[in-house]
Amino acid sequence: MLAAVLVLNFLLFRMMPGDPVASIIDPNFSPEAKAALSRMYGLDKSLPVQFLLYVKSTLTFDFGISFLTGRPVLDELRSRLPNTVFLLGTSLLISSFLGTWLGMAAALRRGSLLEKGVLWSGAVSFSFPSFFVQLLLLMAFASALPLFPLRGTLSVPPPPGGWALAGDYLWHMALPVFSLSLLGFGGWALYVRNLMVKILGEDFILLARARGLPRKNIVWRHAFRTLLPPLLTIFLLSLPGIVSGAVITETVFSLHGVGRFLLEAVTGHDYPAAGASFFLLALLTIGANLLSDLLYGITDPRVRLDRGGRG
Amino acid sequence: MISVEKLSITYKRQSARERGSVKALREVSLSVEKGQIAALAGESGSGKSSLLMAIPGLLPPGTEVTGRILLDGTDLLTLSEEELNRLRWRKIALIPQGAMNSFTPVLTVGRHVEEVLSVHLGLTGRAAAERIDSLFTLAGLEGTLAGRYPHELSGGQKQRAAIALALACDPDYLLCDEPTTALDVITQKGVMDTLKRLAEEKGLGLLLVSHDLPLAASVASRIFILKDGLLVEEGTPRDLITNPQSVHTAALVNALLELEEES
Amino acid sequence: MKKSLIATLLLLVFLTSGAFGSDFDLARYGAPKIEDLYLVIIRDPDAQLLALQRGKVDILGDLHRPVDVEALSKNKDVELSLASGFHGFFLGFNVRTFPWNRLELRRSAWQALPRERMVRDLFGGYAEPLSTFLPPVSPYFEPGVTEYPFDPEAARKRLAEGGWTWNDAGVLVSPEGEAVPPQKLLSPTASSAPTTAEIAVRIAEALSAIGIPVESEPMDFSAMISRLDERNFQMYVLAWQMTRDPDSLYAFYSSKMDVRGGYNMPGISDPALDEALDRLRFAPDEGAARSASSEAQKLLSDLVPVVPIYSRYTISAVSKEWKGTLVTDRTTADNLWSLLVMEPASGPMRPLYMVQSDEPRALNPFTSSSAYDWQVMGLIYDSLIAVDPYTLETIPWLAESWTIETKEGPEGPRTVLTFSLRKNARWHDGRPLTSRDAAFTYEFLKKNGIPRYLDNVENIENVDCPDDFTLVVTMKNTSFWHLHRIAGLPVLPRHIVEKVADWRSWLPASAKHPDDPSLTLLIGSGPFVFREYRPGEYVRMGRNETFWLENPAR
Repeated sequence: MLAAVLVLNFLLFRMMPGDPVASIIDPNFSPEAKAALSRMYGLDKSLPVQFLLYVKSTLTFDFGISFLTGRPVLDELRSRLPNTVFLLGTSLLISSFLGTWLGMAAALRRGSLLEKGVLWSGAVSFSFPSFFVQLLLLMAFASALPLFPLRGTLSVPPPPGGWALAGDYLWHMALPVFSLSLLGFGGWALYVRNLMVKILGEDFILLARARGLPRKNIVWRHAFRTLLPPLLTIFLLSLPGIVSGAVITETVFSLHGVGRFLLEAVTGHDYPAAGASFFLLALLTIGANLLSDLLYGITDPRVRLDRGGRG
Repeated sequence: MISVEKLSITYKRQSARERGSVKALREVSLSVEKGQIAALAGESGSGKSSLLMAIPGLLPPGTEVTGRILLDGTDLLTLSEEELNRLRWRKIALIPQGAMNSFTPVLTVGRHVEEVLSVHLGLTGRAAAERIDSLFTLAGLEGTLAGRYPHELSGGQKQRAAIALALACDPDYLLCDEPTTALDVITQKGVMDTLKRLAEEKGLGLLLVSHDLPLAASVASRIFILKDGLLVEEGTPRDLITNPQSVHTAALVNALLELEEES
Repeated sequence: MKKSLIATLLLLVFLTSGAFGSDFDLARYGAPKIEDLYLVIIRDPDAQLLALQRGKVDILGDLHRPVDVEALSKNKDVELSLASGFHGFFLGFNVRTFPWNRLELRRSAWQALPRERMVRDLFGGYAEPLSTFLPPVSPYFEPGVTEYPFDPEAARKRLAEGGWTWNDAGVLVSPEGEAVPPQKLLSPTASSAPTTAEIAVRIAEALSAIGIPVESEPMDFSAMISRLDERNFQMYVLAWQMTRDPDSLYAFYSSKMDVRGGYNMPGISDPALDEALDRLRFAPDEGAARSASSEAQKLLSDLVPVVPIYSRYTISAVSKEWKGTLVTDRTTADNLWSLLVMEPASGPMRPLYMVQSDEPRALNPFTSSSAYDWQVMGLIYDSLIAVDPYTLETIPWLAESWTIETKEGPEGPRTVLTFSLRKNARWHDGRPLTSRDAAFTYEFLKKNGIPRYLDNVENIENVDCPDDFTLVVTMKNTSFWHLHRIAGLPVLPRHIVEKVADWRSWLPASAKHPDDPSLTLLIGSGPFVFREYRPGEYVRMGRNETFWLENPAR
């Protein structure tokens, strides 16, 4: 599995048209200077040699030096990951909790105004282009109504002191996190609502009512516990995918994150950076899959015999 | 005594395309006493399941119900959901159809029993565990099966677990909806015997819904036959065989007798 | 509306330059007045605009979306400046094969393009049509070249006179009877470069109108560049940032540059042109350079290896809370000279905030090639020479004066550059800057074959330091441009760089200076001192209190 990822990672970026040196369009760079640059990047070596060097640097988590930034790829990722993890982690938690809660509430009050509201706002949130929404939020709440900062994760200059700094960080992250949560909750709400409606129609819920159980037992112990395994799976499997959502957010709010870095690495033929990013993304995907299988096993007893047989 | 008086049930269909109503039951009256086994027979679609679900108030919201359902003198149709919850399982328990997906799949069967013990009797911990053990024994199951998940049990084991669950709070009445369908003949007989024994030992009132007239006749002291939502026959098994009141019953009885002759 | 704005801006530019006089006076400048300079990283153009409008930043350079300029022109708190630059956008042909190997076809193609209208429609006046191979702002610009004003009838007539005909489908047929096959015009996609893609479509339409069947073929930019590099194309559109020195013409049009990685993509190969370009590249002095450059430009306008289309203005915006900016018709307000003299229009001194539109990267002077790195390092490191903001001619900087001589060597004549350095220049840590620093820098770059500087230093024969303030650089051959190639290099501190173990991975901004904890190893002799870089947030610079350029007596 990992070997396949390594080979693919290596070949994929080298098979794309163009290379990091040929893309230089600068009359100050003569063909000789370009050849020297190729040597510096190690692109003059044969592909098998390049591959071995790549495997070595990847497996030792060294990753080499980025062509584009000239800094060690590991440094780049280290300085960018915290922001992206905070941004995506917080907004994913908020949107999934909010979405789950709204979805459950809608399913429990079929036909109510609340359900209609959730269905409508969920569809809007789910389908609006993120760039548009985020820019609108930036204009509304950072410019027209200057409640939040326009850019970055820190004030320029940053306030002194640990707590003030942490507060400043949260204040800066509020709008990006809010926007991503806003864009993300709809999918969750619709998904949870549909699944919950289906579960509430099951025989075992009717039987739970027949046993005179209080409503909260029925909702949480019987319905929600049944909903949990597929929900956790979706949650974990969505992790690698949301990285793409980081790209636009990081651009609009000028955040120093990995999403932008990844995009530039791919478009700029930055083999070390792109290779490292995709390797880590592959690890994240594999990890999320393993974890979701593990959690499904724990939360859904049926999984050992008949995985997802009853949906 | 559960006494159903002139009960009519009308389902409302309210999909986007269709708007209309279906009468499932028309002015049916019947009663079950403690220690008595009554059987409600009829073809599928005759309204017998609707009647059964109406008693603990489990019909879908929006269903039109008229008449009275008296439990020891109290009209259940006038009670709120909370008041019903106090009667459900403590007075009236239910054994669902064998084919039904009646247990929550992510909870062990023991957990289901534990939950009703805790909710209705305030029984937890060791006391609850002991009671679960004795309930399982009573239902003819090994106590260790309480730790199993529903999908880990066979059909017969699941049905017996449903009986153990139904008896958890010592109810006065037990509503059984086709308790033996989906079971093989030997298991069927075992489950029926257990039910009969319990009715006698504990003085339970049992309302047995079945489309299987011979089976019903073999355990019940009183039989009600429904057709198209109407009560068409009522009496002891002997009455039914010697003096059927309707053509439909006569046909049923003939079929039954032929079967007996063959075997 | 747009046109009048441009007219006003241009008028303003010319008036101010007239008022200042065309002679630049270095004596008016000294150490910066600004104490703290923040380069604030904002990538998104909309966010940049909002930040300027909310007063969060004071300078925004390199505006290139007409809508943004429109929006800012209505803002009373902001001053816009506009300058012609070295940007050039060209239509290129593959002249190695039919039909573009036919000169009259290339000339007619030029004449068939309504360039004025395209520029007006697409840029709303924020660009100008280009008709020459060097932009008019170049000090070596030659106005007396052949011109091809828009006239499709004249284009058809020229072709008809040359024996070309049109077949039933309206497609051009060569005098030998060969119809022009369908041509693909490579361009970037509309999503990555909307105006360029649109220009390609319009060029295709205009050429099809005179019987050349052209269709634009949008593709990923990298894919397009690699097609050009492989010479696997018929036509393309491409923008260049040309340089101050006209010898870039050699890089674009010499037949020796029609190799893999070379920029003679059209494949033009003409003995007279090659000869003129060789003379330009190896001109011993300015006079020879000037005449060779003029001749090359005339030849190019006759040969038409590519068709110039337009040149974009550089536009920048500065908050009116600041005064003192220097603006010329060739330099917008966001320049070094402005940063030396800017101060608040009223009230006490405060930090200046300038937009930095992308991350400075390694801040490694050896490997960094991005403009974002050099926006920072350009304020830290000095070169021997500077550029006059009015004329773009060379003026003294770290070198007070210099001579260019051609001397006979063992292998023929060669250029010898002799510089006299200022005696008062110091590094940010207080050590004196001497000719040995410069000599060490050039030798270090050459010895390590550093790709970015290969073209600058490969022809150095040797470097001498007769004394601490005299530097003699002997080249292997003759060229007037050696002066710019050598003297334009940043001079690096020897006492820091000689301890660098691996120049490829050197990150001076992240290493503390051994003697002064307030400094890093990123020290130079320039007007600003590097203080701090917070990735993703900002670069903080401080005034160099001991800057060698002495303050004018006031």
